[in-house]
Amino acid sequence: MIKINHIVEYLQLFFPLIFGLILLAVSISEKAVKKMALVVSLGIFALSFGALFFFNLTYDEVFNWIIVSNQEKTFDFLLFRTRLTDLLILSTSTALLLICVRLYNFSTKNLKLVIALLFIQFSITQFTILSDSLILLFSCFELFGILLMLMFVAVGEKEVLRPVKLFMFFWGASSALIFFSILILASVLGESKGVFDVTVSSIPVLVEEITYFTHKELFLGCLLGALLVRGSIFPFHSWGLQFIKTNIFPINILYSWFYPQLIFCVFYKLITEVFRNDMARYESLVYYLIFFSCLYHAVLIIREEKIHAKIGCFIGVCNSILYLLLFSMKVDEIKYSILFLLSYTLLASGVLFSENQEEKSVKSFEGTRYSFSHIYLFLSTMFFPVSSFFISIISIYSFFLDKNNALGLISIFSFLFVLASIVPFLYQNAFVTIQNGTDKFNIFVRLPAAVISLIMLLLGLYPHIIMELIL
Amino acid sequence: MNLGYISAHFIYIYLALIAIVLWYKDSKIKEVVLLSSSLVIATLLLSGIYFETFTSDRFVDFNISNYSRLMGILTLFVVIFYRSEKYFLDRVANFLLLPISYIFVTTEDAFILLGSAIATKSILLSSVSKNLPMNQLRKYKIIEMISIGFLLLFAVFFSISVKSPVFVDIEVENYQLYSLAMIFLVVTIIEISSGIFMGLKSHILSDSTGPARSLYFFYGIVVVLYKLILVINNLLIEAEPEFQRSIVSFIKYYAPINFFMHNFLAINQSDIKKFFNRIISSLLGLVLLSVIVVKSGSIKAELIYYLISILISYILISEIYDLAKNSTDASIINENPFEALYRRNKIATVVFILAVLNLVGIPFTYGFSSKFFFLLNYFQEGYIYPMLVILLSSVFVLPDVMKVISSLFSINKESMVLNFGMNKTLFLILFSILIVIFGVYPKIYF
Repeated sequence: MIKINHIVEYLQLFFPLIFGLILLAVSISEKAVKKMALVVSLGIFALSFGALFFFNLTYDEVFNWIIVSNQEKTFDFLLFRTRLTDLLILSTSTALLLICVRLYNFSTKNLKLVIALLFIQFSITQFTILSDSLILLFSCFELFGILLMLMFVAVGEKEVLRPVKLFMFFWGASSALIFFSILILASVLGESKGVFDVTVSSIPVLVEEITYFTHKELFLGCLLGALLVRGSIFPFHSWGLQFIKTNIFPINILYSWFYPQLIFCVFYKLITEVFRNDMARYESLVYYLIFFSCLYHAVLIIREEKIHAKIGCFIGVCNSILYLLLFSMKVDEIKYSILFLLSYTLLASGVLFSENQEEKSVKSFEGTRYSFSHIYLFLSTMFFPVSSFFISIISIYSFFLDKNNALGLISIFSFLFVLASIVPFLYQNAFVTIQNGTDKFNIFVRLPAAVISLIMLLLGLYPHIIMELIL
Repeated sequence: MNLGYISAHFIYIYLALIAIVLWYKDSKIKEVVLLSSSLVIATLLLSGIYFETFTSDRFVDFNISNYSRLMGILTLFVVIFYRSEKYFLDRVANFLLLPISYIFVTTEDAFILLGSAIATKSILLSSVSKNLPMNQLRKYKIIEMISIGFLLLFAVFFSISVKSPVFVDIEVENYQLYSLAMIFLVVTIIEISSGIFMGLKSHILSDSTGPARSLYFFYGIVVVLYKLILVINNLLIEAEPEFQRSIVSFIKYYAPINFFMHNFLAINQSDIKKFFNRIISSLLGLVLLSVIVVKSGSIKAELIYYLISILISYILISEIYDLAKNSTDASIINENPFEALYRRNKIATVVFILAVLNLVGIPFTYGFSSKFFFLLNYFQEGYIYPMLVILLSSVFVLPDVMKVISSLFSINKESMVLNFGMNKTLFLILFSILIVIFGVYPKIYF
């Protein structure tokens, strides 16, 4: 008996993937591709909206056919969904919709390929967020990077070569480390159990089984190192920043909106599960590292001149604080970080969206059109009270100060840095914008930033929406 | 007398058939006969999977495993793939190499092993020699002579069957002889798979075009390597513990260092073909690691799985390279034939990206699962730090690989549309489907 829930599940998971593959295969005009992308992304958004609020979805029954347990040499695809994952998927599908809206009035190199990759990317993101088996998580995470890079290469000109090389180097290094740690885990299992039967929740038990001390250290060290590289915080910051610096349209939104959520999800799954018992001795080391990363990015904000580079550093600061939160919090305290995650990704991508209103040659806000969303986004960067960013920071302070004064000080310090460096610049540009503003209304150009600022306003007024959803 | 037995001996009939057919002057008849007989033999090999394995001691000792059948299928692929080659010699080389490599894989006799190796190498030489410059040909000949020489020495010292139970009877005074032969074999393997000669040889062969390169790779490396690894594993089981330990510890250090060096040399190459050759040499060098696991049979399946994944990548990359290179305008001296490939042929672009990702081992490709299962064996033996070196040094080449991929999407107005023809496009697609299927569901193989 086929239930409506199952259809929704299948559609949600595979529809973007199939659509992307079809787009790759057929040859149609760019105009038609844009229209189709808009309609399909609207459908995907509706599906994920429904999945969060209306349907009660579990993947237990549907994916039995893929699971082959207790056999060697199989890949098990286990999916696991909670309200949190549904929320993250809703958020990424919103990003997809907004990107498609913006692309409607945008022309770039290899447009069809970019749109196809975008949809495949979305599907991969969904799988990463939902996956419970370690190998699926790892594989999808890898694929995300590869697709991001392919898209980068497909859109960009010659100037993307350096970022691509940097990206590939760091990404490859972290994949080698993750691969290595998975090998250690697999060698613990031996021949008796399936190599890929490992679910994320069963990792702590397996880690306990690693009897040889140095192997255990190696496993934890490799995994942690890989995650820190992926997070692109301090010593490895440059590849993340380079992405934003080139400022190529769909990529910067992907990096500022998709990527932090994805990495949050992976961090949340791995760190809170794996490191809960064994993290204690590394805790201070990680804190110092992240603290330094925060300050470093904050200082970089002052040094960088272009607005999108500043936004890149801003994402760096926020990411570092998020990892700080993840390392210090328990599972039931996740609501603090979720609101923060949503608000800073929204804020950064909103600014990037509104900057993309003009041609590529305009590297700052000067000369762009005045709108409500500009002013609102600038204000919320300065901790404007009626915005979700403000609310989330307040809740973070309260959380940090409850827990550890030093952590609270770290976050306050770095945000003060952000404030001191970014605000004069934004003020100046905002007023220039108002003075030079010319009105030429185009809904596809203005809609994304306006929608983002409306969401932020809504979450700022009613932050308990998120809290209730998660709980 | 069963079907497997008949199929094994059909090889001789087949060889005789080829010898007769080659006397005819009408090339049309030759081709029809050769193609149809290769189809028949491949069908027999394929159907052999469902029969029990058997060993015949009547004439030559055969050990028909699933591997030889797999080789049959792959050979069929290659034969049909190169069916429409311009040079007749290339086509004949394919047809001849099929039975000879089959004998090479299945035999357990040292002299037959040597004979088929020499035959393989001489056919290859004749196939390669038509489009190599004289000085390079001389170098290539010298290298091949050295490797044949080592094999010959090995066969002389072991003028007995290679089958492992024989060595139970080895007496103490023969021990010196035994270790000497072993050393010859190890040197041969190093020379074939990963030594400095390998780099030189692949550079020389990268100047030759068409099927010669793939043939060299397919028969000269994959087949020979697999067999020699098996032989050395068999021998090492019976060896003295001290000798075992010294060989193992040598390879334990040699393989990671070799891998590192080849990857390091790869990023210094300006020529794309040499770059990929170096990566492939480094990957082949890892095959030596399977000598470490001194449990013959335990590694077989993973080793073949690993070798075939490299083979597929190599065939796809080198084919697309050749086709792209030949189609670019001769007046434009273009170092990178992959430039703007996306504009010229979309299928080739997708296949090429898949092949490259397969080569570096990205998840959901065949290359990933093959590396995983291959390396897992050594991990479980406890060789953790050599693995760490190998994994980290594989990261070197990634930026340059991405550089090649990024050149696919550049806009080059002077480039023209590429057309591969139905035959080759079909096979490119078939191979890439293989990559994805084995990547997602490796259990099919095992």
